[in-house]
Amino acid sequence: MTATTDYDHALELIRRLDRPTQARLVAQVVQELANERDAALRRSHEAWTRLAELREEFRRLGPVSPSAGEQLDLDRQHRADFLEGKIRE
Amino acid sequence: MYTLDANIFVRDASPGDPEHAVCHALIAQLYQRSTMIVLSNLVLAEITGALSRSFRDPIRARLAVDLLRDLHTIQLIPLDNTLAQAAAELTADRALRGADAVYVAVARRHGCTLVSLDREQRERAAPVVRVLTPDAALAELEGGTR
Repeated sequence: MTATTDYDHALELIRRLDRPTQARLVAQVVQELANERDAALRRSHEAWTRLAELREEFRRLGPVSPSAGEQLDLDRQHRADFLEGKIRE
Repeated sequence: MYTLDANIFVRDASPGDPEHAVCHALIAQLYQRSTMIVLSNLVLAEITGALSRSFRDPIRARLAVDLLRDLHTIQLIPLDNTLAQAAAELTADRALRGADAVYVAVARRHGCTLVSLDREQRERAAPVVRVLTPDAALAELEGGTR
């Protein structure tokens, strides 16, 4: 509701501006949106690269038992069994 | 769009796991195609918990989810009252486990295909959402059908 009101109010204000100012405003908003998207993509690319390095670091930690995947399965099963009263503390 | 269970991300982060290759290939395909992965924020704690407990490395476990959050393909959904209620109904009706149902609820709400290694989760979710194994999802992507 508030977002709609703010949007309508902003639109009303923009319509009062002359056309060159409206055009400048639109161009600026488009530029800011593009910059935000570029920044998000750059951050994403950096995160993807760092994730690859992190995988290598986990690999160097050597084989673990249980593996992280097995650990997740065990934790979930343990919790379910505990909640369902199949095991006790 | 896809919803991936935490078991995919955890295997992706564990190069020694037998399922690592397919889980990594799937996440890489989705990233390269900029295909959205919609997840409940519950996934963050499940990933860090499994990585920290297995590798005994809390710092890298935290880093792993911080980096995942920054990927442009990841959309995190808050586990709010509506989602919790939907998950509760799924646990009752489909006999899903609690956390499993949260993934199903997210997939249903956002029209996503649920990808999981957990057969029970897939079987019980199948009447509610489209479900795939990581292998099947990868084959589908590489086949260009989605």
